[in-house]
Amino acid sequence: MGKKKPFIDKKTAMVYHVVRRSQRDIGTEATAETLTDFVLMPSPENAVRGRDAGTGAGRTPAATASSSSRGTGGGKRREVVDFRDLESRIAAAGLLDETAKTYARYTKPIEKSGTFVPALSNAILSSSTMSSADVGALNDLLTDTSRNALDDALEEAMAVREVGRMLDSIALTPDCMEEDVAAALFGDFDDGDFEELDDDFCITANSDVPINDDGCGGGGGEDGNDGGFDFERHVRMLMEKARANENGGNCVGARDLDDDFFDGVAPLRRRGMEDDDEDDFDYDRYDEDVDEEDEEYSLDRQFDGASTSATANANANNDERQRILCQRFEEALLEYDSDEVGDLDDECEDIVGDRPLEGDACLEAALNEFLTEREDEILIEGTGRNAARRKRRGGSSYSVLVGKTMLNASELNKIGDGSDPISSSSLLVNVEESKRQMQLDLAEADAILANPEMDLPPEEIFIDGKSYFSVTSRNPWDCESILSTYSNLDNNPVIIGRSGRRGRRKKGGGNRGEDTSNDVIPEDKPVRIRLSNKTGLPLRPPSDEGIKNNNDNEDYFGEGSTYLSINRGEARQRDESKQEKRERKMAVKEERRVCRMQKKIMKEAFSEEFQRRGHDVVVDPVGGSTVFRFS
Amino acid sequence: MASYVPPGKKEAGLEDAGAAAVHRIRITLTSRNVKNLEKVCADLKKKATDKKLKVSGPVRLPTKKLTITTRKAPSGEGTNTWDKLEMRIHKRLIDLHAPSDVVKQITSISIEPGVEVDVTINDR
Repeated sequence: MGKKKPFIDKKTAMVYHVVRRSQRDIGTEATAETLTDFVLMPSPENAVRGRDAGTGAGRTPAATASSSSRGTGGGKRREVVDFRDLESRIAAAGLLDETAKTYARYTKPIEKSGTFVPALSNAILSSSTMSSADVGALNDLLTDTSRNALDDALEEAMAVREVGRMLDSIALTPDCMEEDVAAALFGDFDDGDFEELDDDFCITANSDVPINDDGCGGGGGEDGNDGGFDFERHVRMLMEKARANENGGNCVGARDLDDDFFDGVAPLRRRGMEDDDEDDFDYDRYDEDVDEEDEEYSLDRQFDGASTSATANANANNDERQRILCQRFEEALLEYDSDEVGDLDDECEDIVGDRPLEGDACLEAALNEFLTEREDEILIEGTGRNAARRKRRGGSSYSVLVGKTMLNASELNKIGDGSDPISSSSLLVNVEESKRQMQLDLAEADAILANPEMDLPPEEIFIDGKSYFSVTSRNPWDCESILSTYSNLDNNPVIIGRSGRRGRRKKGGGNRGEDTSNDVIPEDKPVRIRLSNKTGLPLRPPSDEGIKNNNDNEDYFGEGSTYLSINRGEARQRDESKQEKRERKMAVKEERRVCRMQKKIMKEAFSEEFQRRGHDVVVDPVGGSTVFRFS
Repeated sequence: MASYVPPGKKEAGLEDAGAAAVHRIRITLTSRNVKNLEKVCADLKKKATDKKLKVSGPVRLPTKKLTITTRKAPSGEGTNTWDKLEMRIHKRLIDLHAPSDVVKQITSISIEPGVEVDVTINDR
């Protein structure tokens, strides 16, 4: 068996793609409902295939029919004609889609005169296999300059087809709405019916236009300000109106009480001013009137002269209402009056006790203490609003030096109460003494102040400039502890100039002042040891080595300076031999070695000392007593 | 003598001629989705058998697998992990011996989305 004939001959076959119908393809009116979702679209490769088929070996009968007509035509025409062949073949197959022909529906309607020029030339048209009648018709159609035929078609295509409404629209008729709305919408209005409103209410309100109130009388006399709005009068009028309405309606409410509340109160504006006009306001008399006005502003209720009949009625009602109110209050109180609530005075005698408060020592002591503290506070801080603000929360209060002790002000008075009989007696004596002393001092001060021309008493010299060993008495009034926690106990500033003065003195070379360092000290006299101000250690007595050296070095070499810390300014000689150089170098090295050893010894000594003393003390070299600091 | 043939009659005659001319029609169904594809095939076959046409098929051609193997990482850093992406194309053929008007009715069936239908008509 040979090769089986294929089912489909691909070269001559027509291929169609099944595609979804375009949304714009709505078809004609007749076919609109029956259109399917899919359309068979001829594949563009069909033309190619047809061409190949035409040129190739295999020729279909349809193709041969058309080829005969192609006799005179050129190669170019072949392509064009092939399309028509295909079209005819499609038509023969019954697959021709008519919609392609009705392009008119998609084109813009021709406004001006215009014709469709056919894509094919007339020669081709005439030589095609179309019947002559068809050709003639086509020609007429295309060359027809009049618009009628196309026009109709276009119009028919473009005509908007109105679709019937599903629901009837709701018409706006006057029947379905209210009368006034209907009148407003549909009524006839003349132009003069409506008032022209100016939208300037704010301007009108701000301007000083006198407003005529249609209220009760009695308020005219008080309104002294012509241009202003009498506020309280207006309020009063409103209240009277409301009260009148209520009295007519005969309803008792809490509001009435409120209204009466303001009856007796002085008016907002000063009564004195009401008689004056604004222009005649006497600024000079303003200050004098202050006192008078203060009286008016007092809380005493003054009866306002402008009372009306309504208020009189209200007063009568007021008493009645108050009586009712009191009654109600009593009733409410009775609710709470039960046996389980309240004092037990009358019931249990066991718990009832007597404690007279007048003679109570503890209470009196406490009271006195409080009073004295308050007095002290006032003494220190003064009265007024600032006292509360400036009140210190802790710290020292007023204290008195009694004998050798510092006593708080409260303690002083406690003595009198006999809280501690043993100490109080001694303290009492001291108190008396101190008081006497204080009085004497005060008297002296007064005397001095009274006679300013008197010479001042001679100054008493308490401190000897030569005594270096005087213990500085601790000033009991030392304010260090009060002002700050930073003290100078551990950081003693050195008086500037002390260390420099000595050097300068020596430099001068003269025996100026006292210079006992180099003097010959007789043996019978005690050697005065001088302490260094800086370190507190005794100064080294001058040794033979020191004398040998330069005097200046003594000073500079003092206590802590090493060999390396000063510059002696030694220069080497230019013409020194090698031996001398070597000697010099050796000397320097020796000195350095000595220095190093000294340093090491010193270091070890200090570390031993620190270890012995313990690390805590080292931190605070004051010697055990802690100086409080901020952390 | 030319007889007046009313246009309607003429069309009917043409149709008859067309109806008589049974063509060989090959319907090619292509899809990435097997389920939809099988559904459409079944529909077509059913309709064809209802119309008493000579149907052969569906011929299932081998599935074409297009694979792309790419590195997962956008950069070259990291362990070499690869992504295997593939696309499977299924193709079915249904052959009919039917007149052309019947072929038009192919458009009336509901074609599932994703299924591509090509109709090839062999003119004798």
